[in-house]
Amino acid sequence: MKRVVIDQERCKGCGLCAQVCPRKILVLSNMVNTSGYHPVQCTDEEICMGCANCATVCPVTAFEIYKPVPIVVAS
Amino acid sequence: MEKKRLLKGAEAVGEAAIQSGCGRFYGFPVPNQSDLMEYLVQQERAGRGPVVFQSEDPLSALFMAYGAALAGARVLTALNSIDLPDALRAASYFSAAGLPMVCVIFTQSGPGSGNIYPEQSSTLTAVYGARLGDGFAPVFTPSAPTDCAAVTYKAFKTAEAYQIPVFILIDAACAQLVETVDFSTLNIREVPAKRVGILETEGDAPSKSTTLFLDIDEMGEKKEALREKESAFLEKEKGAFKVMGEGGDAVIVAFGIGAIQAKRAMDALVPEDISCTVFEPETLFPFPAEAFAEALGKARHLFIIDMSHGQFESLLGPHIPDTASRHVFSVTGGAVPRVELLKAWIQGELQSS
Amino acid sequence: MELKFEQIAGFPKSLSETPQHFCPGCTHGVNTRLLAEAIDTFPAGEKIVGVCGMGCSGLLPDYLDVKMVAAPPGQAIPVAVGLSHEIGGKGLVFAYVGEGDLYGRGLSALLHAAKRGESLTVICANNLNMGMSGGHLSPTTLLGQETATTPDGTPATKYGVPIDFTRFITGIPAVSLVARFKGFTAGEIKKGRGYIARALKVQKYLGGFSFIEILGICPTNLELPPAEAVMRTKTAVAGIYPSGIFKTPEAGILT
Repeated sequence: MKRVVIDQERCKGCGLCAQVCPRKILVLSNMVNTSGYHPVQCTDEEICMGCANCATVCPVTAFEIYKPVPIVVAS
Repeated sequence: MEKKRLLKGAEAVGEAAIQSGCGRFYGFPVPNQSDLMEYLVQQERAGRGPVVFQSEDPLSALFMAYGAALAGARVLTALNSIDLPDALRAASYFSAAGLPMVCVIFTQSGPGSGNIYPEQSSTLTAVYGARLGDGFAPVFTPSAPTDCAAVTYKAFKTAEAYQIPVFILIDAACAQLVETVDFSTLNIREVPAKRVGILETEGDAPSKSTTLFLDIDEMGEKKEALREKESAFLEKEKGAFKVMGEGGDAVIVAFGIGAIQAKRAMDALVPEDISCTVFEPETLFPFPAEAFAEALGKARHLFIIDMSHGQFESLLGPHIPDTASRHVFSVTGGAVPRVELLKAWIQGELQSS
Repeated sequence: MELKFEQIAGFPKSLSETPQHFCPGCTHGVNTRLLAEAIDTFPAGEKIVGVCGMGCSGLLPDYLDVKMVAAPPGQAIPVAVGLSHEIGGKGLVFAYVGEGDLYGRGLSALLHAAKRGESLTVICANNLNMGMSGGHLSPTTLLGQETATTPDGTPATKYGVPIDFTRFITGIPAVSLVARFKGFTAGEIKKGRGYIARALKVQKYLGGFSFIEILGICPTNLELPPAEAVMRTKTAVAGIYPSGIFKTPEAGILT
């Protein structure tokens, strides 16, 4: 299951998310999207702590963040 | 409520607005306009008529009316001619959004703050100013209180029929003139049905109202639609007018207080064996050109009462044939053309020609 | 231990898929999303109509899937007031206006609407300059800030010292709720996002006038990369335009 889903076509490569990511796993990619921007990409989803700072500051709402939570089974 | 009422011109507008189903009035206290607003407030207290709201300034009044109209209200606003540019700005937006509004402009002497006495020096500004960005707004010009009431019905009807802003120009003299208005003689048609406001619009797509079109093609389409609307309007609406008398010595053309004085001058000239026709345009846009041409056919001499520096004359200009002998009586500064002066002028001009 | 994945951030229902014209890093995008999130806190049948002013906010009707009206420059508040009068208690009206419009030619209408306590939620997008016109001086431009009309830095001698319009509005008795937050720092956005929904609820249940100012960055006109514009603006507004909730209907003015 992906934890960080990025709509790279919406992304305008402003880089604000990279600045607020505590794990420093967001970097601008070398690819160019149809609008001519370098969209952001996630380098290591496994260490994402689900703070959603990136989605919070993202001006184009390009992020969907999923956080793993333990399933509590009543014993 | 009794059918016959003793009313000022400004109050007659208010009463007719009530009977036209006007839901909201937005205004700001300025001379003449205040009489209309106060009348409506009294009626509101009596449990009838529109909700009256005094705004912080005339421009706000116009755009509060815009908001209320978007929500489906039938709106009336009124202001003084010194604030006419605000009304033109608003009219441009009402035109663009396709919203109905009736806006009464009480005309006074200018330029600058001028004085509160009657003048018709806002005529061209109103007629051509509403064309800002190729918008358009009919311009009504009633005279006596009964006419003020009749024109107000027509104005609401026109505004609703075409979803456009409509101006009613009333000079300060006609606004204050008192007359018994018999509402039973007025042709009160059925009040137009209430429009659907933006909150009631249905369908999957939420509705938007914008007048900002950054795309050139989209703007072009909007303009074309407006042009078609105007063509349809001009095709059907040929202008309102009144013709009084059928004399062949002279045709006197005037509107507002000028028309009332022209009629009295016409009566005063009968003992002098001078027979006149008074032509009173009740709309300046669209101008009743055909009726005017027909009236002009009655006499070679055309007498124009112009309560401005040539504005009315220049408006009439294209409709006057070269064969007509043109005479202009100009009175400005807030003065009303006096009947004895008009009589002497017409007599003198006819003798010397 | 078994794990499940819970979505904690995504695309709000009321936000339109239409690509936005805003420059990279522009706070208007964040504000638009926050508005959509606030709208989403109401049931689907809730009647909400928004009014936007002129400038970069003027294209908001394309970006939000709610009923919207684009108002003329300076006239967003009168238009919203007219809508609010006619709609009465049947729906909610919000206005989203840039500070150049709202505090400039729209100031008189704003103060009078606040004074009357109109049933209205007003959101001011304050990015310290007239963005769409090309980065000109605005009513909230800071001292020394370079704009297209003050290329050598805005001088106090010519344009005076900036004043806090939000503080001024807080003091108006009929106003119910006043708050301000930075729309470019994660912490403040997280705090501020609830303010808009709260303001709309104040309008719904108390018929009150709420005012929220969202400070923003305009990287294009600051001629800075977005990340640097954030740092620069954060430092520049400190002590001049403080963040926080300044007034609530329950507690009145908070200091």
